[in-house]
Amino acid sequence: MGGPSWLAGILAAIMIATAAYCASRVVIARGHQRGAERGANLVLTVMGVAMAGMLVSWLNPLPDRLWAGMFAGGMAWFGWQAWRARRTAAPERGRAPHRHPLPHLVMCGAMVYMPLAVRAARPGPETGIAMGGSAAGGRFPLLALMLAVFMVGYVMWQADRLPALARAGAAPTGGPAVPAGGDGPDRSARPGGWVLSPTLAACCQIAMGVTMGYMLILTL
Amino acid sequence: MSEIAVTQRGTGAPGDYRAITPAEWAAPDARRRLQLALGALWLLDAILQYQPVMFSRAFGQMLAAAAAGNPDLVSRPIIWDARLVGQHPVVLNAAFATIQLLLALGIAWRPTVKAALGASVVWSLGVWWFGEGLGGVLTGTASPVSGAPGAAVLYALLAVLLWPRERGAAGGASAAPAPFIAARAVGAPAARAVWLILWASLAYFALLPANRAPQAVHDMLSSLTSGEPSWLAAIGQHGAALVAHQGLAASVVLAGLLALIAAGGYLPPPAARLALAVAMVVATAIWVAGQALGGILAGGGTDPDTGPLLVLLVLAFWPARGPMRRERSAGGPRGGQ
Repeated sequence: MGGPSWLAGILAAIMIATAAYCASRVVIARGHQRGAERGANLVLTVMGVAMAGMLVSWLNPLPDRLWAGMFAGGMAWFGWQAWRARRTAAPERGRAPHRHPLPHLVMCGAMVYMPLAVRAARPGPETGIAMGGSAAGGRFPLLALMLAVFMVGYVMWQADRLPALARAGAAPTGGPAVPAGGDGPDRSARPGGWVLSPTLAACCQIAMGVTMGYMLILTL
Repeated sequence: MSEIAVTQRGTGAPGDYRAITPAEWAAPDARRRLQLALGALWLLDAILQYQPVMFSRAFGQMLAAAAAGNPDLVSRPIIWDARLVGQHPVVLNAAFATIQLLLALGIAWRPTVKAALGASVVWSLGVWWFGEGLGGVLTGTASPVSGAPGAAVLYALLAVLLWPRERGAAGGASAAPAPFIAARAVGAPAARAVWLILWASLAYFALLPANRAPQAVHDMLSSLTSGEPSWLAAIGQHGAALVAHQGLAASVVLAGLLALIAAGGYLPPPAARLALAVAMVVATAIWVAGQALGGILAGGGTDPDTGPLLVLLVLAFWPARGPMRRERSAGGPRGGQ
């Protein structure tokens, strides 16, 4: 993949910060999170590290094939979650489309695609898939474009939900329904404080979605 | 104080698929969905603008090419701008891409949707002049196949038509419901006039002497195939073969279709739907065969070109089946914007 090194550096730093944040969510919320949440945070942590490694070669700790294998596992995990969510949400179909792990499934798919596509376009010894070299010209460019368009749509959807997430995050955990825009919440009563804020989590996913969209376009 | 009750269902973690409930986040209404689609196109533009080639002097040369054939009054500022970008490609391209990124996120974030749409109108008109040479409409060579009247002006047009206000809302319950989304902001007569002017001008461009020359459409289609994936190049080449030495006939047929579409805004809903469906097919065909998806797959495309914008425009004019519900004003928690 080709790209200005300073831009790759900035995006890699953002991805590392995102990975660190997702890891902190895993640690802080270990007592409160369900399996699906823990799994998603773990996959996003690994994804952040992998994306940083793709952007800046010396940050890449693992060979491409291993990354691809790990994210193929991630796809299987989210695929299973999607199947489970579909079964449990069947009576409420059409009411809550945001309750689906599809975006994470597609993100994992993109993480499988990128190293393989770039490797196919630039055969040779494993040097990672870091940017900074020449443009990659990956295989199946239409797939890359479709994945990038999905990422763009996902980012817009997440950003649209931010005000609602902020209101949801302001409500005390497990407490009774409170009117939106009411008195300020007692944040100290909420486990994890700002670290578990849904708004911050969505912002991280927005950053990850934009970065992934950029990386996918670079594979064209 | 809002009446919307909010209940925390989970931690809001990425895997917490029940983090917010329908009570807290109403699905976007039709206009909001189109706003988000417009924002998505801005975001795609921004990402394309961050491509490596845009940080090189080639970007300045690309801008300078837009001056060709334009009157002095239009071309001189373009050449000045292209020279400036050629001297400072990294800083200026980073600024341009970041502006587009902010416009996209501003449209997506409900509290800033008005500011972002307003800014996008100003930015689009600037890009239309300095980046697209007014879409070539003054050069005598503009063609709907190659992207006339310019993608940027369509961004501006969509921002105005999707503006989050209700025309006639002050009229209270007596105000007639909008027959389609674009009419909600500017009113049905103004929206229909915009539709007529746009598509009629496309029909006019299709009939320009430069476009009805025997090999004009053929050359336009075949010139876009280099660097494209084989399947897309094959579509372009087949299209070019189909209209080889048939420039006049192809232009007349295209102009006829575009004129029919232009009149579609004034037809009763069933006929209007048919005209709009034709518009969608024509826009998609032009996008695939005539614009090669904006050249994105060949690398170096700066935007997806006019195809997706024309489709968005068609959706904004699609006749509503029933009276369109009026949504809350901007900044409200519900789906409408």
